[in-house]
Amino acid sequence: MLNPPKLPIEEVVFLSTLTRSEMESRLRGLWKAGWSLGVIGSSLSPAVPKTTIHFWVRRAPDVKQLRALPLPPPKSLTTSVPTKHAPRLRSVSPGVPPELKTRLRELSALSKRYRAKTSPTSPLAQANSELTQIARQLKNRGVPTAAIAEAAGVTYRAMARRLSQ
Amino acid sequence: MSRLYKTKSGTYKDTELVVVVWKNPKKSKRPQSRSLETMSAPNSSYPMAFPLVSLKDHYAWKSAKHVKSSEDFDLSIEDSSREAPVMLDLQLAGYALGWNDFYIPEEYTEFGLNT
Repeated sequence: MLNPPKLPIEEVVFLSTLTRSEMESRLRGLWKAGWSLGVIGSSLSPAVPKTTIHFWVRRAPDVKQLRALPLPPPKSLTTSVPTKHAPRLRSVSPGVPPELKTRLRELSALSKRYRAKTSPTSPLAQANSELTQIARQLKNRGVPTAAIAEAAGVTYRAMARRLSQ
Repeated sequence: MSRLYKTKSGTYKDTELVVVVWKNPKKSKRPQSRSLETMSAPNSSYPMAFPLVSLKDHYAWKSAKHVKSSEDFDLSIEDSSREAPVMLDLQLAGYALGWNDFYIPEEYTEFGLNT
């Protein structure tokens, strides 16, 4: 977890205005609402070890909280190990937008007849140039080379070579 | 024509569902990493769709930006993070990102069509 979640700043400020026993009861409320001991401890200033937070919340009585408790972040954002039923973080790549797929196919069909000797002003050269331009834009947006190649109807190697030019 | 989904918290049209994405923080260190991150289910690799209203009320997504166009998405995604993600309607996700398949959590049971 690169940026562990923290309690909302207004909650941390509120905690700092409470007496020790009130604070411990409030922390118990937060813990029971789903906030982890580690997140609570690291949110306080100065930070408090989670073992100390655990000690406090275990000895604190259950007190009805008049001020609403903040909702905890999804489990997936607080733990590095996926939990069984919680949503998971997943890295994904964008794909080729549907309206570009047809255009890529058309340009690819024309580009196949393009040769080095072809006049730069010919439709074949222009199609070849436009295909390279669109493919680079997609690549810059994070679309995988394989997805661009598939949309254009060419091999991965052919598209990778075009992108490396 | 939009589908209706009945959930524990209410009934939603598919136009009221969004996916949440942000820039993959690992991308800057590992260029071969995928460029985005999203939420998915343990049993599905598809991006998970959430009702927009429930995300707006949720502390963790309070800073999320709801984008309305492909251009807006391109501008917003660069500054996005897990704490400040970008929300896209399913239709825009298909248009801007080429995604057509989404995971609608099990409790969302389609029960009708609304013309």
